[in-house]
Amino acid sequence: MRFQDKLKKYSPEQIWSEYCGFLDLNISDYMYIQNRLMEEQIKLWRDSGLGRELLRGQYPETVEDFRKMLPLTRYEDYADVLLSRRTAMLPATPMVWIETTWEGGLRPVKVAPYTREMLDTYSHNIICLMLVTTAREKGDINVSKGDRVLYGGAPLPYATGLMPSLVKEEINLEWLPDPNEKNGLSFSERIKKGFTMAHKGGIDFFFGIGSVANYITENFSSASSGKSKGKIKVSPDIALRYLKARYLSRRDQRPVQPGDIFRPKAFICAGTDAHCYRSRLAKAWGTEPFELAAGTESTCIGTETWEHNGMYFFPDACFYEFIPEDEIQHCLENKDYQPRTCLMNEVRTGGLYELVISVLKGGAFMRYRIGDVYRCVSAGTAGSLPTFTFDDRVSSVIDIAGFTRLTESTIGDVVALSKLGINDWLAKKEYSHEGQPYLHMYIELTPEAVTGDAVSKSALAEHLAVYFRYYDSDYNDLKRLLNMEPLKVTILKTGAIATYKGRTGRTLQRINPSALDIGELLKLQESEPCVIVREVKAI
Amino acid sequence: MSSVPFLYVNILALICYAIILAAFLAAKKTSQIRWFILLITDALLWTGGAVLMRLQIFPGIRFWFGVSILALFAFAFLAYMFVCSFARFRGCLSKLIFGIGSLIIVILEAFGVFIAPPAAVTTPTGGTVFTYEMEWQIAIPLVFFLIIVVFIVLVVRKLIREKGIRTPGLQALIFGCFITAIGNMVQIIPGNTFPWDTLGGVIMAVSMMIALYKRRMFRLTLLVSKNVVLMVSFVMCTFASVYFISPVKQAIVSTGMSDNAATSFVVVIFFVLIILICYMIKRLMDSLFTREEQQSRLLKAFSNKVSRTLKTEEVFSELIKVVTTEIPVCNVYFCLPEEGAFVSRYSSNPLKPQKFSISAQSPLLTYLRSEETCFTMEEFRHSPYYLSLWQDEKKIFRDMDITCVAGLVDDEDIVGLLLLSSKEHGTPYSYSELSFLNTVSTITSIAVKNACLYERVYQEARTDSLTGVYNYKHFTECIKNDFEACRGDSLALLYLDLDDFKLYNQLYGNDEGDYIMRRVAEIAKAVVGKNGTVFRFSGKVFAVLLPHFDGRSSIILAEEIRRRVDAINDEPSRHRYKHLTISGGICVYPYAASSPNELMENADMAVFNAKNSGKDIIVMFKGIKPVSHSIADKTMDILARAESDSTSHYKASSPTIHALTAAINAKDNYTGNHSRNVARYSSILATAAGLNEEQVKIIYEAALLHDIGKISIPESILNKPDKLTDSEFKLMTEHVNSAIEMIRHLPSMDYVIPAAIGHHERWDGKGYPRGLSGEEIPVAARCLAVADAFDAMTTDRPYRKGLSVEYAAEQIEKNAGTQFDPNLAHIFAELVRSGEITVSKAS
Repeated sequence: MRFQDKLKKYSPEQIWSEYCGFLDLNISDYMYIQNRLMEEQIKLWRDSGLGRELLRGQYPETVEDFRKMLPLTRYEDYADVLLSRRTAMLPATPMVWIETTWEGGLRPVKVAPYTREMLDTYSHNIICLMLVTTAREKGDINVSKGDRVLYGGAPLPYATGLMPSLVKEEINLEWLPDPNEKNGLSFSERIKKGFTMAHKGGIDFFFGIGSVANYITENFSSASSGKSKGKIKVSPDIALRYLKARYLSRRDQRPVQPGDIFRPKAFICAGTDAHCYRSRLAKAWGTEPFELAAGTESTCIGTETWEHNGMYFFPDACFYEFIPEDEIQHCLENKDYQPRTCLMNEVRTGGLYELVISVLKGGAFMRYRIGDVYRCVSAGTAGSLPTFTFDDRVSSVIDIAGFTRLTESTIGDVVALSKLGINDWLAKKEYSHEGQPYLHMYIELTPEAVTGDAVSKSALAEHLAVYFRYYDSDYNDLKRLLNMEPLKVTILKTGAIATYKGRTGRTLQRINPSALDIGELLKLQESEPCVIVREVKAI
Repeated sequence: MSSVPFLYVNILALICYAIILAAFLAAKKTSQIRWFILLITDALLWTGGAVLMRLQIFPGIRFWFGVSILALFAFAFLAYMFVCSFARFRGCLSKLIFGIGSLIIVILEAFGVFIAPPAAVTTPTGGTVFTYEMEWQIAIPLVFFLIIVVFIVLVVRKLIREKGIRTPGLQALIFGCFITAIGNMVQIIPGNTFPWDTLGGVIMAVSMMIALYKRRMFRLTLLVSKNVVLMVSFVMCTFASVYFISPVKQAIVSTGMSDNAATSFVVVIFFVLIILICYMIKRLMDSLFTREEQQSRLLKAFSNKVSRTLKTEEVFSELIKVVTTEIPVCNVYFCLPEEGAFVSRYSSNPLKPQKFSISAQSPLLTYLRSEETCFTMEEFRHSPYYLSLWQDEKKIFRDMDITCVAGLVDDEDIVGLLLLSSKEHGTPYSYSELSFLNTVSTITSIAVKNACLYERVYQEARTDSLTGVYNYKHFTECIKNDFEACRGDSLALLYLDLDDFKLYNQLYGNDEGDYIMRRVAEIAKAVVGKNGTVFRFSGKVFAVLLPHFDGRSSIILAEEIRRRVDAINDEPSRHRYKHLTISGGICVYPYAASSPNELMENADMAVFNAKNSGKDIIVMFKGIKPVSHSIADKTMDILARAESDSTSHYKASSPTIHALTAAINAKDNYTGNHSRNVARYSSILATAAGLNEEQVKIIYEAALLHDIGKISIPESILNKPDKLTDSEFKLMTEHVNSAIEMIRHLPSMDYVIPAAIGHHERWDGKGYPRGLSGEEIPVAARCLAVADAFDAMTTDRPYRKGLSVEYAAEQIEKNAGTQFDPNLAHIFAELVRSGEITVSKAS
C-alpha cells in the first residue's frame, strides 16, 4: 500500500508508529534491530562470492565473529567486483546501480548496487524524514498528497536522483520540476524553472545539498525573476507575499529573500559543509534547515527531527560502527593499523567518530569506511537514542562544498601537471570569515623558480586552478554550478617545511595538517633564516 | 414550565440508568467500571430525585430536591474521574482539588447556599409548575464545573494526541461528552420545556458503556441477558401504550373518524407496531448475543476437552475446531518451540503441510511479549519492531498469508504460536474475534505447556541422551508391540555392534568414542528413516527393528549402514584413527524365530557369528536345520567341524577353554570331568532340540566353562561329605557370579555368559542368581541346567553313590515344567532312553 493511501486508511498514530516509531525506542531495542538485521546481512554476504573473497575462507556466524574476522574495507576492496558489475558475486541481485566520483579525476566513477529491499528501506526512511521534518511535535502528520517539492539534487544515476523516483512510489508530490525528467535543462535552468513553478502554489519541501541550497538562495532574486518566456502564473497569496517582500527589501535595503515569499514545511540539507550555510539559509528562508545523512554507498541513513538536536540514524538502513578520534589519528600515522570500532550504544557525548557502515538488506559494502566524520551531539540519556551531526570528511580527503574529493595523490598530480617549480606543499581545508569553505595551499617554491618564473601569489593560484579544473571534473563543477573559486595560495619560504621537520622532528601531514602545526610553521619561517634546499623533491 | 415532559423523560432515563447499573453491578470490577458505576449511581440519584420531587412523594419536595441537586453537583467530578480512569491519566493534584471542591460545594448546597428548593405552583389547568429562585452564588459552582469540563477536554485531547482519535472507545466517549454539553447548553435556553440535559445524560451513559465495551473492558453477555432486554422491551411498550394510545386516538377522532372505528384503528396500529418492535428486538438480540453465547459454549467445551488430554496433537485438533467454528478463516497454523525456533507442527489444511519456522529471536515474538498477545499483522506492521524482520520471515508471512497472530503465553514463556491466515472473504478481524482468540490462546497455553512437558519427559525417558536414539527400555516395549503388530507378516531385528570399540575408547578417549557413537546413530537413523526404529541396545550395540522387512531387504539395509560407517574412515580428519568397522546380526520373524526373545537371542547369535567370522560383516541367522537320526554323531560332527575349521572362533578359543578346564580339573578333578560331561550332554540335547550349529557350539563351550567359578570355592566345601551349612551353601551359589567375573575378562568369550549365568535358573523361577523363569532363561542355559542335573545325579560323590541312569532320567522328566524346560526335559529323557546319551562315570 502506498503511503498516500495509508494517510487515508490509518490513524496518524499508526502512521507515526510505522515510520517514526523507532525514535521512541530505547538503545537496547535499537541495538536489537541493528544486530538482527546484521545477522541476516552476514548470512547473505558470507555466502556470496564477494563475501568469500573478502573473508578469505572464514565463516562468521555472529556479529561479533564478523567484526573480528573482517578488517575495515575501502572502495578498493570492492572495485574489481563492482566496477565490472559482476552481479553473480553479490549477496543479492541489484535493482539499480548508483554512481558517484571515486577520487576526483584520478580514478573512474565508483558504483554502488541497490537491491529492491534496500530501495524499500530507502523510501520508508525518506517518508520518515518528511514526517519528522514537517512535524511540530511527536505524532504530528503534516505531509499530504500534492505537496510541492523544489529539489536541488542531481538526477539518476547519482544518489540524489533516487529520492524523487522512490517517493513517487509512495506519494504523488509535485516536483518543481522532476530532476529525472529528460527536459534538456541545465542545473541552473532547472532551478530557475523550479522557482517559476513555485510561484504558482508555493514550496512545501526544499531538498538540496548545502552548497547548492546556498547558491540557489544567494541567487534567488535572479532565479525567481529570471527571463521567462511568456507570462508567469502567480497565485494570489504568493503575489501578495511578493509585494510585501518587495516593500520589506526596499525598506531594509536588502534583496528579496526566499523566506519572504515561500513558507516551506521543511527545508532539508545534506552534504559536506551544510553546517557552514546553516545560519545563512535559516535567515534567508525563515526556517531552520534540517540535516540529512545520505550517501551513494550508505543510502539514506539519518535525519534530524523537529527538535533540531542532531541526526538520528535509521536502524534498518545500515549497521553502524564508529572509529573514535584517537583511533583515527593512529590510522593516519600508520596506514596498516586496524582501528577499534564502537557501536551505537558505546558512543560518548561530544566524541568525534569516523563512520563505518555495513549496508543491510543485501548491500555489498561491509565494514566500509565511507570517510565521513560525525560528532556525537548526545549519547542518549536514560537509554534514549544517540544523535549526531556531520563534522567533515576524514582529514585525508578535502571535500569542498560536497563536490570534490581531493586527496594527496590528486593534488600531487595537479602540481606535477602544472609544471610549476614547487618544491613542497601542504593543503588544508579552511573557512572564510563568511563561513565559505576553500582549499588553502601552502606552497614552497624551488630556488630556481623563485628567480626564473612568474610566481606571484595570484599567478600561482590561477595557474593551479586551471589544472585543478582540468584534472578534476567535480572541482570544475564548483565553478560551473556554484561559481565558486575555492583555491587560496600562501607562499612559504623555500625550505620552510624541511626546516620545520629539522627543528621539531615532526613530519607535517600534507593534507589537512593541524592549524596548530601550520601556525607553528608560519611562525618558524618568520624567525628562521632562509634555508636553500638543494635537493628538489620528487613530487 | 410544564412538568409533564420532564416527568416522561426522567422516568425513561431512570429506567435506563437502573438497568445499566443493575447490569454493571454483576460485572468484574476494574477502576474504570467502578467509576462508571459511581457515575451511573449519581445520575440515578439526580434523575430519581427529580422524578420523585415532581411526583411530590414522601418525605416531600425539599428532601428529593436535596438528593437531586447534590447528585447533580457531584456529577462533574465523577465524570472527570471516569474520563481520567479511562485515559489512564494520573493527575493526582487536579483530582484532589476537584474532589475537595466538589465536596465543599455539596456541603454548602446541603445548607441551601447556592440554590433553594423550588416552590410548587398549581396552574389553572390543574398542573404543577416548579419555580426556582437563584441568587448570584450559583455562579460559583457553575464556574467550578466549567473548569472541570475544561479539564475533561484537556484529558481527552491528551489521549487523542498520545493514542490517536481511532483509539478504541475514544470516539464514543467524546460523542457522549459532547452530547451532554449540548444538552446542558440547550437546557438554559429560555422557554425550553424539554429536559435536554437528562436526555443528554442518558446518551452519555450509553456512550460510556460503548466506550468501555470497545476497550474490551467487559463482555456484553455478562451484563445484558435476554431477560434484561425483554424487561426493557416490556417497560417501553407499556410506557408507549399508556402515553401514546390516547393521544393517537384523539388525533384520529379529530380527523372525523367515529370513536369506535378510531379505537379499532389504534389497536391495529399498536398491535402491528408491537409485533414490529418485538421482531426488531429479537433480531437485535440475536445479532448481539447469539454469537457471544456461542463463543461461551465453544470455549467451555474446548476448555473441557483440552484439559483432559496430554497430547499436543489432540490439543491442536481441538484448537483448530474451535477457531474455525467461530472465525471463518482460510487456514490456521500452530507452531511449537523447537531448538531456538517456533516450528510449524500442525496446519488446519492437510493439503498445505508446508514446514516453516520462526526464529525465537524474531521481532514478532518481541512484539508479542512487549505489546499484545493477540494482534493482527497490520498492527505489527505499524510497530518499529517490524523494521527488524528478515526478508525470509516477511516472505513466510506473505506466502502463508498470515493475518493474525496469537501467542500462547504462560507467565513469561511463549509456549506456542497460533497463526491465522486471512478470513474467507478478506474481512478484517473484529474485536470480538480477537478477544475470542485471546481467551482460546490462554486456555490452550496451559494445555499445550502440560502436553509438551509430558511429551518431553516421555521422550527423555525413552531416549538415549548420548546418541539421541531410543534406549533399551523403549526397545523392550517396541519389540513386543512390533511383534504383535507384525503377526502374520515379518519383523526383522538387526543388531549393530561396533568392532573393538573398547580398544577405540582406550586409544582415543571416551569423548572420541562418544563422537563415534553419535555418528553411527546418525547414520543408522538416516538409513532406516521411517522404515523402522533405531535403539541403543547396550554400550556399543545398536538395535534396529524393521517391521515388514524380510531377510533380503534387511541385509541390504544393514549393508548400507555398514558401508556408510566404513566411509567415516575415509574422511580426511580421521586418517590418523584406527579403522572403524561394525558387525551386524539379523534375525527375521517368522523365518528364524517365533517369539521376541528368540528373535533377540538369534540376532545376538548372528552378531556373535559375525564377530567370529572376522568382523565388519553382516550375518543373517539362518534358522534351524532338521535333526538327523544319529544325534550324538551329528553333535560330534558339529564340534569336530568347528575344531577343524581354521576360521572358526571355536578353534581360536579352544586353547583358552582347555586351559581353564585344566585349571579347575587341577583344583577339583570332579568338577573338570563334570564340565566335560555336561558339555557333551548339553550339546547333544541342543542338537536334538533342533538348535542350529552355532548354538550347539556355544552351548558346548559354555558347558565347559559353566563351573569355572568353583575355582574360588574352598576345597573343603567342594569335597565336603556332609550336607552344606547355609553359609557354605551361600558361598557355593556364588560360583555362578565368580564364573561370570572370570569369563568376562576373556577376550571374545562374553557370548557364553548368558548360558553360563543361567544354568542354575529354574523353569518355575525359583532358581538363582536372577530368578528368571520359562523362556526368559536363555535356551542354552536351559540345556545346561538339564545336563548339569543329570550328570550330578549319575556321578559318584563323596557323600553318596551315583544314581542309576533310568532313575536320573525319570527325575529329569518328573521335574519338567518346575525345574526344567518341559520340552527339553522330555527330549533329554528320550535321548537317555534311546542311548543317544551314554553316561561316563567321573573318575
